[in-house]
Amino acid sequence: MSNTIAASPNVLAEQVLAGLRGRLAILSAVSTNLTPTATGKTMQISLVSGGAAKEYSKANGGYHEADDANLSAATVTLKHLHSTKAFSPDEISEYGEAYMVNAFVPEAINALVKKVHAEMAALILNANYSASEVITAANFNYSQVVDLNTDLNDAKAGDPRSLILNGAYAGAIRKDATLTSGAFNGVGASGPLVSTGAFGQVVGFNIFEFTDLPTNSENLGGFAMGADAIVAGFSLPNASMFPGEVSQAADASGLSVQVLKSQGTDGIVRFTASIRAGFGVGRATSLKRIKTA
Amino acid sequence: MASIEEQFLKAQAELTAAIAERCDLQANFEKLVADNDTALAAVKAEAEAANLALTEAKAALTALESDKAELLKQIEAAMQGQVSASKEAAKIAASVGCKPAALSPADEGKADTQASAEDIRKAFLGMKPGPDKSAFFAAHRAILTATR
Repeated sequence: MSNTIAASPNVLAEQVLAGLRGRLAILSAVSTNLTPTATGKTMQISLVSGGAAKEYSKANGGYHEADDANLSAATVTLKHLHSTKAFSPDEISEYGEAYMVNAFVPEAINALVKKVHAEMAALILNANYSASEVITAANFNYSQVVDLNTDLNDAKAGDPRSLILNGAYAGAIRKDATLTSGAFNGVGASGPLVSTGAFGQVVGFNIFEFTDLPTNSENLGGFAMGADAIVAGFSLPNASMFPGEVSQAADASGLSVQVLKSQGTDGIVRFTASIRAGFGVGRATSLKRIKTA
Repeated sequence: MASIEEQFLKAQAELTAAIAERCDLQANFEKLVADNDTALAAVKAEAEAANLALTEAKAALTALESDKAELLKQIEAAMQGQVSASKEAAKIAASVGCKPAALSPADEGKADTQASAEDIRKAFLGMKPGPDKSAFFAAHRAILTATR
């Protein structure tokens, strides 16, 4: 065994997974099926429902009185996403394994997170979620957040609720005096929103800031949703025939990543971090878009 | 005025009372003397016992010091033998082309640490992907991500 294993896919996979776990917090806001061993091209995902249990009634069919299957699950097609970094033999001999690790791990995390965010944001279209409201960033404040939550209540959106905002809207709400100078979260002006910019929960919303949220050519500035609005499936690609080192890491939630390492006949050493991910529309009425104009 | 006979009887009664009081005082004095003698004897016996115990303790301490000196000699001799054995092993290993694992007690400590890190790496590589492996990685991150 070598003296160190820092550049082993085993170690790299764990490092990338730890980064993904922290940066893909948005997965806690949607309905997910995280199954590393799933091999199909598509994956069925149960919705975190906004419905309620029913009172048993023989007259109404007993247990046959079930939720509509079409509303309780959705199917997504998984895309094979990867981030690959290539190193020449000269780079490896000159800088060593620490250089490779440092060049690969953060970039792989960033690239995969950015792609996952982009895949999800691409769904937020009028064609998928028709509810919308024009609120300029200048007018976006605590009161608007309350109204968005009321709208989701009316739509019987599932819990937990999330508010995804681009940089301008997140900045606007950080200035809202209701949140910064009042008794917000019991800490007022000395709270984390002022000191670190972290929102925590506001009116039942977990707030996420997507600085790279696209407008989707529909003036998208943010969106409020229940967990049943978007479905996400994650698994790992097949690497049984890969002619190099392969390893994978998976945490308790099922979030996983695969890392490959190989040196081709061209002499190039390649490190790849890959996942299979798919996003789809869940309950369309459980999401409301915030438009800039 | 009392008669002579009456005065004689009174004087006789007073004399009798004085004699009785003197007898009581004498008895008390004798009792005190006897008590003091008993207490003194007890104290003497106690002091003698303490002296005996002190003598025995001194003897035991002397014996222990003697044993300690003997043990220190034995340890020193054993350590000299160990270093010689390490040097001899290094010579043998060098003669057959092996890198000596340790030459001194300080080097042996370093070798133990390296072996522990190697054990951790080996255990990690032998684990199946999953939460346990991730937890193991988090617990030993410094060792597993160390580079040359």
